[in-house]
Amino acid sequence: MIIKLSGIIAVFVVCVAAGFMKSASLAKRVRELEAFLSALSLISTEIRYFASPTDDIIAKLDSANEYKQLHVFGVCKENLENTRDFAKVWADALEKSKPYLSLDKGDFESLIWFGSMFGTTDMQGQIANCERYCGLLQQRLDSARDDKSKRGRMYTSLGVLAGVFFAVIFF
Amino acid sequence: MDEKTAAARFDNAARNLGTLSERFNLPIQVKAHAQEIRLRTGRPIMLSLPDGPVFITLSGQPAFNLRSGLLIAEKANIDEAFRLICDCSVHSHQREIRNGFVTLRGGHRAGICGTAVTEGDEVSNIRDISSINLRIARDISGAADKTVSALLKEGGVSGALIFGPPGCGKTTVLRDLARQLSSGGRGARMLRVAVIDERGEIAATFQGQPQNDLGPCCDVLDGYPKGEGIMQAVRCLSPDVVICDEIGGEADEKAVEFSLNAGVTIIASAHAGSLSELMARPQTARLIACGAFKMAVHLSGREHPGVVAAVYGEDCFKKNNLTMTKMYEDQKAAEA
Repeated sequence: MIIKLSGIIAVFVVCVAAGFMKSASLAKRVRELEAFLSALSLISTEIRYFASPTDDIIAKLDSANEYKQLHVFGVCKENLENTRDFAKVWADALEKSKPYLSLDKGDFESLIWFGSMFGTTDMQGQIANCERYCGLLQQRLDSARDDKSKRGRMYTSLGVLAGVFFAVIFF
Repeated sequence: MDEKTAAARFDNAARNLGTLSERFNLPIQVKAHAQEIRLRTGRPIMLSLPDGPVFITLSGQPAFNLRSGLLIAEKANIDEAFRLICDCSVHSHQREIRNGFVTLRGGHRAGICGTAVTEGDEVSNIRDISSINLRIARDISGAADKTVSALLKEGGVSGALIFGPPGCGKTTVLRDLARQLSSGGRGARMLRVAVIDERGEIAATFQGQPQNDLGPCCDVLDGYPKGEGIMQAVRCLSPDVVICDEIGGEADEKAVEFSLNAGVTIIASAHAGSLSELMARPQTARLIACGAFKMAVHLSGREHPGVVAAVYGEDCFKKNNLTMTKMYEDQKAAEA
């Protein structure tokens, strides 16, 4: 009986935790998109006022605590020491950072496209590129916030309900 | 510079061409003597050597004449090389691209050719890059030995104009001159040298750091227009000597006069095949007439880069420049 009860409690806890984790990942995606949006704004400022080269901008982003959670700038900075093709380095850094990020496929694709254009045009082109992807990420952020408020609670409740459901079934 | 170091400089420069450079399989002698790597869309890759052009075969070996089976620079190769040359930061090199060349890490220079994007009468950008000329930087230590001997006198240094035809090593001499003057030696003290490097050829500054050794007492004003740079240097850096390349504009003239009044020596270069050709240019002649330059150093041609052919003193100027001096004085009187 004790084993059965322990099993039921374990199943309940797993279901509730899964619900909470899914809900937390939606909140994390919002935070990450906000951070990427802020990074794009910083990149635009760096280009507009200092015409900073790409590796300097990445180093600056890597050293800022605000963007440490994104992981990608650190990997990018390391890779830039060996490979100089930024588009490849950026795509590779995003791939390596996937396990640490809660972004969806569309978010990653937008970021990869941003990287493929980064540093390939003159200042005005780069500022326009930043603005374009800022707009795109803002849209994705709005939808992520929407998801978080609508689905966040739903996943939490679903986790608890699933836990209760399996507890009743196994009891 | 020994062959091994020269070949290493070639490899260092060629790395900026991306995947293309991985196909080079050249002997050390070719690498050591190559002065330029030329890429033209849809054309064979060419190396410029003192003896003439050398092409590269598909297996990366040198070919000494045009034939089939040569390595061709495709549009994608040129685009990749352009991206790498700009360090994936085209926006940071806008001014250089507008001027037609980009200075690279290591002091190499990439000349860029494509379709001009214009705004009014000015070239604002270059698109559709069609050719890249990668010039391999090789510092020639001691290139200015003879020139320094001529310029140094009684602990001071005379203002001088270094002239010669294109490719005779004027910039190389100026670079070595800056290094030697700012390092002292030959009985002279270390002089405070300011280099006005409008085109980035003397110091080859990359991200704020001169890639060429210009000695311990040298300040580099990178990218400044010559006139403005000279004024700035004289006002803020209190140099003993100002060095700049290819002088001749109207603003340069005023700045040289300003520095002359401030007691700062100017050493500059100018394009001219002979002294008479130099004097025939009104602007250069006016600069000489105002007394900024006490001597002119004539470098021999492209076959012997950096070799001094003749040093002309004030007497020679007077002989060749009487008319110009009069013209200058008349102009000054009119201005007064």
